[in-house]
Amino acid sequence: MYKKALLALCIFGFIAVSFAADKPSSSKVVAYYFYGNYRCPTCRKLEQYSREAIESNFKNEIALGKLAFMAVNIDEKGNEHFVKDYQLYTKSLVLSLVKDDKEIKSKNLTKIWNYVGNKQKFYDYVTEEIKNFLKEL
Amino acid sequence: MDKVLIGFLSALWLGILTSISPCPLASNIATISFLSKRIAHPFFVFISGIAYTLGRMSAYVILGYLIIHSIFAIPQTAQFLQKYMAKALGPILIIIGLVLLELIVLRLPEFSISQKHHNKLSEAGALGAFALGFIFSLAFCPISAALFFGSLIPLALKSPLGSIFPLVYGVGTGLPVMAFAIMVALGTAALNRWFNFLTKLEYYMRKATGVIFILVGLYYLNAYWLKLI
Repeated sequence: MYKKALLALCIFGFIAVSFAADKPSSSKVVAYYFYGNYRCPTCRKLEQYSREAIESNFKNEIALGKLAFMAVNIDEKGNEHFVKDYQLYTKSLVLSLVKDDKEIKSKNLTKIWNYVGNKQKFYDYVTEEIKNFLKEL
Repeated sequence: MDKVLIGFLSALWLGILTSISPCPLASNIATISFLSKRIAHPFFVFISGIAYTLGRMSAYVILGYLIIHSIFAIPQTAQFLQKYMAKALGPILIIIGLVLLELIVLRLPEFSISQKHHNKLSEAGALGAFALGFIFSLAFCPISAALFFGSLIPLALKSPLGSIFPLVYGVGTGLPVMAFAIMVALGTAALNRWFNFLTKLEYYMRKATGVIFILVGLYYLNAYWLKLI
């Protein structure tokens, strides 16, 4: 009886350890693009440029789970808290540094509005800001 | 002193940028057509232009005051105005358009203020222009919200005279309409002998204004309600 219980415990322990090893890193940078139900042409451009800048310049980081891009509709139920969390007043790109499942810091990249007329400058700005955040991981 | 001047100029520049961004541009075009319906009366166009700009200034000053003095919080106010005011604008503009086309007849109650002033003001459309300026200013779109809440307010918070910045910003946002009103005032005065033609033109301008209001209203209605395009 004892032997069986010990064996079961060993098997359970092994499974638990392997699951823990498979779990992706809980420390990462998340780039949120926040939009609402009303989507203006400039707003779509903001999302497109942000996505392109991230997906083309950080392929490795995305594959390793160090960086994620998420487009979030703040008008959808359950997402309203982001407005207060990040003090959002319009469509925004916000970087969030998460360590051990806790947000350490965040930054609203407000200059995307200044650079939306110049694709390269937009890419450079977003890339530079993300690099700075990744350094702190 | 230089810092204050730079602050004022920045506020004015942000206002001008706002005036040519999509939503305020659409509302400014609607207003220009609204003023054009009295094109034979340059004085009225001029007064209405000023009233419209004053309406815009008042809205921004009140909003700016409430935010600068922390009575309203920026994110909630910004999201509320973008969500509901812009939604209300489409139906409002369409109704005004229908009134201008005389498809709807409005019977407004007479106010017992001094008849002389009442007539002058209402003839000039000054009250209407003021109301238009006020409502249009509160209908924020993403770009105008970024400029007002993201650029002007932070600038105002840093300056001791910051409370005046929304006023200057308001002038900037109404500048295209003001420029039009001044041009009409100067231009039509020079074309005085064409008065009969201009009076006839007014009739058509009124109809055209109704159509433009309905079109701008449909633009907002599509953007915020229907999402067909």
